[in-house]
Amino acid sequence: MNPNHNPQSSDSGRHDDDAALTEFLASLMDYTPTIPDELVEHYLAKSGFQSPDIRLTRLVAVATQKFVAEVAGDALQHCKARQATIPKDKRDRQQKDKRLVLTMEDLTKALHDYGVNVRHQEYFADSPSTGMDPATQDE
Amino acid sequence: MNPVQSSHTAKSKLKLSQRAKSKKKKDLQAKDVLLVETHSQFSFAIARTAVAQICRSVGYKKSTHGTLETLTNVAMKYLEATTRLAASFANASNRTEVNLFDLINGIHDLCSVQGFLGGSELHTSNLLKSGALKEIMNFVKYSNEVPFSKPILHETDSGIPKLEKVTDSRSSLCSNKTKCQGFHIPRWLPDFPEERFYKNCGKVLVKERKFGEKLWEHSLEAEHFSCKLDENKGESQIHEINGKEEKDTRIVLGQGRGRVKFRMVKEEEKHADISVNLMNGVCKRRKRVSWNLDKINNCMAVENEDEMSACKRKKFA
Repeated sequence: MNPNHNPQSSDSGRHDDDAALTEFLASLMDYTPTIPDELVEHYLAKSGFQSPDIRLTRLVAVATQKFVAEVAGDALQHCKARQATIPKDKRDRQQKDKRLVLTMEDLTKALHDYGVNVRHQEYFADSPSTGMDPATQDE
Repeated sequence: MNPVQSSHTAKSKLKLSQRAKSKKKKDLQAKDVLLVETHSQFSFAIARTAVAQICRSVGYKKSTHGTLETLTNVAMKYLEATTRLAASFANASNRTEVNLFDLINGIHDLCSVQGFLGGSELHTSNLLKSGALKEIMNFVKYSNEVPFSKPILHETDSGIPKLEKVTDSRSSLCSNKTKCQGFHIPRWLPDFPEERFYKNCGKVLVKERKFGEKLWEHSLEAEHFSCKLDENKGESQIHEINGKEEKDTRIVLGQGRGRVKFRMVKEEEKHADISVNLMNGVCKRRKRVSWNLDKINNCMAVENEDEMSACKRKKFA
């Protein structure tokens, strides 16, 4: 299937990869992903994914957990970067940890890097002229 | 009133300065008990709890209203996309069961947006050496294990819908026979219909015809199952299925059949227009009747008559 210039070294490398992968799949049975197996199996059945091997189910759960963790981590970086631009104030520093809030703004920026475009309404108004100055309203 | 405007008026009257104060902040501990009604709501609620736990493990304490739902939606779509890709890779290889390579290919497709180590050498290297897979392995190795916080209820007594695999509901309806027979048949396909709809149990569905006539193939089928019918003589019920009657189609063929005779009769022409009087039967000599446009019908009739009389003589000889 693949061109092998050094058959001996490639065979040993392949054995190492297989061993590492086998060990990883075995360790998946000990590792409990945050997304429960029942939920993953529900979505697997919904998508037509058919496999008797529960290790593949765990692998899907772990892959999804990794994705969510990466997105959340990127959003957290955006949040911290935004707070760093705020003028240094003792009150703000003390409340920094309390203000680690997952906002739509940070999430949108984080998801944009992963190819997911999220758009949400900033606010809703009862008429187009709501919030405008009275002078401009008169005009 | 425009429904869009009415919804806007319901949510309106929030000034920009007051938005930060009135924002709801949800604690990511999910202490509240949420009652759900449908299957999808139940699965979404579980997914949201899991995503909240992941966000907490990353470092977040709270989230704004709607943000957690958005992230949960994206996460579940990612999960579905991975599994659909894996299933499509398996189907493209003429398989119904997904294996590790299909799943790795699916993960590659989704990770290709951001990129991963070794992505440019996929065509030369072994799939098991995949950089995306190695990243997942490192994640499992170095991240803290965060199991799901709440037990998932499987009982429906309390009114909460059961989160179950689609295959489970099917297996409860499937008989053991189907399970034994259908290892090559994917479990998510619907069950086979009842046997009596596609198997001949000694009775043939026959539509009522005039004068008790029956199609030739139905009579042949009845002969084939006549030995089985002997065993089930006691069952003489007539069932109506789909407007047709099930009848016992045992037919005893007469041993001596009558002689079949053909007779060709010339029809008298009623109209003066051009029409060809063709013979209905086939002559032994298989002479073709030609239509000469120059001649009138009467001449044609005379020609045919000679041939017909010749045929008659030979037939009854």
